[in-house]
Amino acid sequence: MSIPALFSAKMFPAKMLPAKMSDRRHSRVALPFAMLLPALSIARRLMQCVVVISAIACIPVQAGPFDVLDKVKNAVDSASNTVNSATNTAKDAVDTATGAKNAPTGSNAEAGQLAVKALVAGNLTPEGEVAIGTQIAGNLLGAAPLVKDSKLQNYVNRVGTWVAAQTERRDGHWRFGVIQSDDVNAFAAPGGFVFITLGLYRLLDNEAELAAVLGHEIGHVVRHHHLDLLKKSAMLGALSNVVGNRVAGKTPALQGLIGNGAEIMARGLDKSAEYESDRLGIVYATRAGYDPFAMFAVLEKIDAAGTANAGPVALLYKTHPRPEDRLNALADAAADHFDHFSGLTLEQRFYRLSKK
Amino acid sequence: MTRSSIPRYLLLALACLPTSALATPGTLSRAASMRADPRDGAAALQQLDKGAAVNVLSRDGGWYRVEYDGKRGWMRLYWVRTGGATVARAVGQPLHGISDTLAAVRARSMQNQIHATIGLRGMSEEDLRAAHYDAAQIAKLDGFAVKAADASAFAASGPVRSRNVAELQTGGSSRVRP
Repeated sequence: MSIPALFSAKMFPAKMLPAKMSDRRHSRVALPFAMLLPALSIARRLMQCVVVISAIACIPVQAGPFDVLDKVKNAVDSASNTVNSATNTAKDAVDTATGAKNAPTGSNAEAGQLAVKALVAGNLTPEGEVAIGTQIAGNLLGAAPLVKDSKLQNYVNRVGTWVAAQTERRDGHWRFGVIQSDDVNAFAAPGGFVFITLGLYRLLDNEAELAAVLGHEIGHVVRHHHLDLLKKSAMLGALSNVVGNRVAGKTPALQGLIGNGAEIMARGLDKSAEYESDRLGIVYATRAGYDPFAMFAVLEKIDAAGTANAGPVALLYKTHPRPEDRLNALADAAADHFDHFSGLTLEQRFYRLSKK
Repeated sequence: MTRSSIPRYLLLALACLPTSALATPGTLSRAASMRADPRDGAAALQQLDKGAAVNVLSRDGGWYRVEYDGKRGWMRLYWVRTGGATVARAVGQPLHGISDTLAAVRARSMQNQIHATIGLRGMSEEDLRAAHYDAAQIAKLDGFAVKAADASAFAASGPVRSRNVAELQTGGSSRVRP
């Protein structure tokens, strides 16, 4: 089971989960792990309290007053060390989560680091969200830079910003980019970053299909899907270190849990988050005046573009439900909802890439 | 006949071809009824099995006009897989339909070429894990950002207009009959 799957039960309330057997099974397995988080936290605090209380309780029976003071002091020191250790490991997790360990000096890393702390503490500001997104986007662009075609980038930003204007985050920090990769994929990062690969762009035939793809990614941003995952990862990273230190006497590799900022893209979200973004994407694109059924065309093209094991859709298949399942789930949700919305496809002004 | 009129004749000939010659092949992803009109309450002409091969002739909103075994009728596009080919919009726009169908043919041939012709590398989990922050790229990305007002003006020139659409709930299919 993948790490994101561990969080599914807590990330998404039951009402958001599709009523499919596979998903129910999924969440049943995930629940015990999700419950483990608060349990571990409580257990740690209890252990600290027990040490202190047991030392105080021993006063009249086992020792003289000076011994008692020493014992209390030792107990407090021990508890304090545990807390410090937890804080440090949490800081490590934050560093790793924001890519600070890989980032050059003077980058966005420090802002991202502070923002993840705020995220874990539950007081993340919109600026903090952008700082986290910038860090993740900067790492993604380090792996696949922007296509050197300013007309293309400008076109995608105009369409994307218009689609984003149909959401409750009209005035977000929206940034859209086509990145140099022949993979078929698209990515989102907190705050308003949306990327589509050149490989996916080449499969599109009109502006409505582009709006559908961008709409799906905008849905991830609006519903904080990656932030939720990051928060759980940072918390689990910190706790697993505490448990690891106590049980095995060594620090488990945090890198494998969180990796750098861009790795969150490779791990994927819970399936229910992907289905939700399909439902949001088609609504946003339709609100923007586009043909709603373009979303179905895009999913069919992705389905036809390759197989799960290799080729340009390998990563997409790894991080998303099968296109066939997405088509069926979206058809199930859409039903007759769009019968009275025709919308335009605008293939005439769709920015076409020069042939290779 | 002058030389310049030849393409017009060709175009006319193309427009006069029976629609089935420009049809897009489709496969049913589930058993569904072919209906007399593009609406759920319309009379069911024939029940088709999952996997049935149909010819998609045109589209009207969320419905395809299909041909199966010599009969013609309508089916919701949800249940007909065409590989994402652009299907001709509603009847009555033959020339537009042709350009759409040709676009679909082009799109398909492009899909077939895509693996062979693009020299860019793919993106794996390892690539993402090993990636390093690129501040210059973030600056470039910021440079392409568009203000909401500019995006609205671009939309209006499309023209696409904003409209109210409620969010989707899961399980809407209880309202439609395949």
